[in-house]
Amino acid sequence: MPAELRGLTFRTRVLAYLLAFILLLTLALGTVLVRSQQASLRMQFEDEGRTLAHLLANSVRLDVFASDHEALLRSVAPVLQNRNVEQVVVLDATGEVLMNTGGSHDVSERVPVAEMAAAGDAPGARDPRGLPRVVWQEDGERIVFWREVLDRLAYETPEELYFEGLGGSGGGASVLGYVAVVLSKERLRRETASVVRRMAAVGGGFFLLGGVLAFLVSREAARPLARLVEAFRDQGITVESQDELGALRDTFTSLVTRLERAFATIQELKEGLEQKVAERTRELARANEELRRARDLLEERVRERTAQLEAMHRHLRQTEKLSAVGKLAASLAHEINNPVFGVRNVLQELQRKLDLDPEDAELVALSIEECNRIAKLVRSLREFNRPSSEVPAWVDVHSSIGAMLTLCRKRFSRQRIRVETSYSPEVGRVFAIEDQLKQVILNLLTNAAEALPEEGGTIRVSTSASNGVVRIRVEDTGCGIPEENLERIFEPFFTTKSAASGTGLGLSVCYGIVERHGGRIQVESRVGEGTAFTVELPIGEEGNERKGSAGG
Amino acid sequence: MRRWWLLCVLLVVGMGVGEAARAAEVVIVQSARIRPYEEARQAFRESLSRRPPVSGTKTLHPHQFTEFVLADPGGRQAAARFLDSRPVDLILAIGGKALSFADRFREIPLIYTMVPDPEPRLVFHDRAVGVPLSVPPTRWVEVTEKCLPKVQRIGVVFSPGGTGAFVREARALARLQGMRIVGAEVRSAHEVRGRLGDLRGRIDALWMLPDLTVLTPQTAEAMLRFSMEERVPVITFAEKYLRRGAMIALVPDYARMGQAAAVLAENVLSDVGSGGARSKVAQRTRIRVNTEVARKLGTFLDAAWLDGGD
Repeated sequence: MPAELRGLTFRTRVLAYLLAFILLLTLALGTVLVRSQQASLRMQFEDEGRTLAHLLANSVRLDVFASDHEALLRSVAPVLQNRNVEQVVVLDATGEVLMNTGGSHDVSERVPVAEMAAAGDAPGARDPRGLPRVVWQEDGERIVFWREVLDRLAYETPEELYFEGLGGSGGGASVLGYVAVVLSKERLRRETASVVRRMAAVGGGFFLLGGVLAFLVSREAARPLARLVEAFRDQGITVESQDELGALRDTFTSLVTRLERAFATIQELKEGLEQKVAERTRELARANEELRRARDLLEERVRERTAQLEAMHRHLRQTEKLSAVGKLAASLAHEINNPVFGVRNVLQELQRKLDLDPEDAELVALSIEECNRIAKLVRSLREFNRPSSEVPAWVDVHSSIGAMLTLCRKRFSRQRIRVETSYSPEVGRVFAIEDQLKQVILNLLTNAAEALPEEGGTIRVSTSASNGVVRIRVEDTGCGIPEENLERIFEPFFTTKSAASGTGLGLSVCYGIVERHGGRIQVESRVGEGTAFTVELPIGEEGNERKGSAGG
Repeated sequence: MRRWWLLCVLLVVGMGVGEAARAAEVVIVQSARIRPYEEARQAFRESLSRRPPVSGTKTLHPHQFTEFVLADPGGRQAAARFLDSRPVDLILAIGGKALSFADRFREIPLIYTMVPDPEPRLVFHDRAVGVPLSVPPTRWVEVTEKCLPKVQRIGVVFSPGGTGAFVREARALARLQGMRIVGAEVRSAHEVRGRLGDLRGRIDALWMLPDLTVLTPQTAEAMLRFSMEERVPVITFAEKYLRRGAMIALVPDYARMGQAAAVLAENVLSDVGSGGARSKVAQRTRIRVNTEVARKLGTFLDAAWLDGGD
C-alpha cells in the first residue's frame, strides 16, 4: 500500500484504487482503440490507393496504347475527384510522361520500374484476385501508388481471336506504361486526429462515469464496514484508528489478545478445577470410607438390635406362654388341691383311727405320701404363677448358694458328684426374695445332678458381677441338651426324664422367679459335654420398682 | 456332308473380310480443355462410333479412341510417345496448336477441326484434311441483311493480308443485297483507332473480322467503344466479344464441326479419301444476339428471322 494512502479511510482508498484502475483501463483501451483505428484507417488508405491504381491502370490501357492524351484526361478525371488523390501521373513504357495532373513533387523521376518488374516476375507477384501488385513509395506527406499498365499487344494464334482460356489470364501481357496515384496523407492525419479526439472524449466520459460508479461502489462497500466499526464502538471496544481497516485490525488484535487471555484463564481454571476435583475426590473417598465404616457399624448395631429384638421376642413369647400355662396350672391346682387335701385327711384319719395290718398300713401310708406329693405338685403349680407374698430383701448370694449346696450334699455324694465353686468377690448381695432365690439355685443344682450319669460328674458353680448385674452360673458335665430342645426347656411340663423322676416344672418355676426379679436366665449346652445355666439378677436397691413386680 | 462344306466356306470368307475391316485406332489431340473443343470432340466420337465402314463386311469392333490434351501437364509428351510407339490409323487435331503438333506425324492420316487458319500450320503433312473454323462472307452478309434490315453501310477494318480477300468477296455480295461495305484498310493494329475515327458517321454497322493484324485486345476494345459512342452495332465472330458489347455473333456450330470431321475420318479410314462423295458436311452457323446491347443501342432486330433462321 502506498504510504500516502495509509491513514485514509477505507472508502477513500477504495475510491482511489477504482479511479486509478478506471484511468489505466481507459488509457489502455483508448490506446488500443486508437491504434486499431489508425491501423484500420491506414489499411483503408492503402486499399484505396491500390484500388485506384488498379482501376486507373485498367481504364487507361487503350489510351496509353494509343498515346491519346485527351482520352487520358477523360479517364483520369474521375480519379481526381477522390479527395485523397493529390496527383495522377501516366507514363508510357519508355518513361515518357503522357499525362501529369500536376503537383508539388515530380514523381515521374522516381518510377520504381525495377520493383514493379521484380514484383511481376516473382512467384506470387499477383495478389489473390489475380491482379498485378501495386508498389508504393511513401514520404512524410504522401504515398505514391505505382502500377504497371499491362495488356496483350496482339493475339498469338488465330484461335485466341475466337476463344478465351487458351493462353491463360495475363499470359503474354506487355507493359504499356505506368500509372502513379499520389495520395496525400493530410486527410489520413486529420482522420487519425479526429479518431484520437473522439476516443479522448469517449475515454473522458467513460472515466467520469466510472468515477461516479466508483464513488457509489466505494460508498456501498464502506457502509457495512463503518457499521461494523460502529458496532464495535457500541460494544465498548476501543477503536483508536480513524481508518476502518485499521479499526478492524485494532479490534481484531484486541479480540485476539482477549481471546488469548481468556484461553489462558480457562487453562488456569481448568488446572485449578482438576486440582479441586482431585481433592474433592480424595475427600469423597475418605467420606466414603467413613460411610462404609459407619454402615458396617450400623449394620453391626442393627444385627445386635435385631438379635436383641429376636431374643426379646422369644422371651416375650415364652413369657406369654408361661403366663398362660401358669394361669391354667393355678386354676387346675386350686381345683385339684381341695379333693387331694380331703383324701389325705381321710387317709390320715384312717391311719390314726384304724388298726390296720402292716400291708394296709403301708398302702395307706403310701397313699398319704402320694397325696402329699400331689399337694406339693399343686403347690408348685400355684407358686409358678402366683405372686409371692414374701417381701424382697438384701440376700447374700454366696450364702444362699452355700445353703443349697449343703442341702444337696448327701445326694451329690451318693451320686459321686464333685462340686466346684468359684465365687467372685465382687458379688455381694442382691435385692431379692431369698426363698425364691434359693429355690432357683436348688432347681438348677437338682437339674444338673439329674443330667449327670450314675457314675457321677462335676458341677461347677460360679458367680460374677458387672454393670449392676450378678451372674450365677451352674455348669455340669452331663449329657447335654439337644439343639431342638433348647427352645422348649423353660416350657412347663417339658421334660426328657421319666414321669416318675420329673414333673417338667423345675426350670419353668426358675424362669418365672427370675423373670419376676427383673433378671433373666440363659442356657448353653452341648450334647455330650454338658450344660450351663446362667442367672442374671440385677443387684437392685430397696424401694425399687422391682419390689412391686417381684412381689406380684 | 454338303452342309459341312458350305459352313467351312462361309467361315474362311468371313475371316478374310474381318481382317480387312478391323477396328481403327484413332488418336484425338486437343489443344486445350475449353468448351468448344470439348463439344467438337464429343460430337466427333459419337458420330464416328455410329458410322460403319463404307465397304466390306460389317463388324462389331468399335473404333479405339485415345485422347490427349496438349495444355495438360505432360500432355504433349504423352501424345508424342504414344504416336511414336503405337500403330495409329488416324489423328484428329482439335485446335491450331494440336494441328501444328500432329503435322510432324506425316505418316499418319490427319484430320483437323476448329482451326481458323490451317494452311500455315501444315508444314510437313500433305494429306491432311479438315474443317476450318470460319464463317463464309455469304453468311455474314446474309445475317446482316436479315437481322438488321435497316443497315445499308457496313464498316469493316481489315488488313490486306489477313481479311482482304474476305472483304472483297463480301463487298460484292453486299452490293447484290443493296448494302455497301465501307472498308478501312490498316497495316497494323496501331492504325485501327485512327481508322475507326474515319468511320465515324459513315456506317450503320461494324463488322469485327478475325484478322490477327487488326484485332488485338486494344483494338477490340476500341471497336466496342466505337460501337457504344457511335451507337453502331458490332457484328463479330466470337461469343467472347458478345459479352463485352458486340450485338451479334456468328458462331460456328462446334458439334457440327466435330461431326464433319467424323465424316472426313470415316472417308479416310475407308480409303475413300477427302475427295470422296461423303467428304462434304453442311456447316451451320449459330447466331448469338446480345439483346441488352440491342436494346440500349435502339437497333431494330428482325426477331422473326432470328427465331426461324439458322
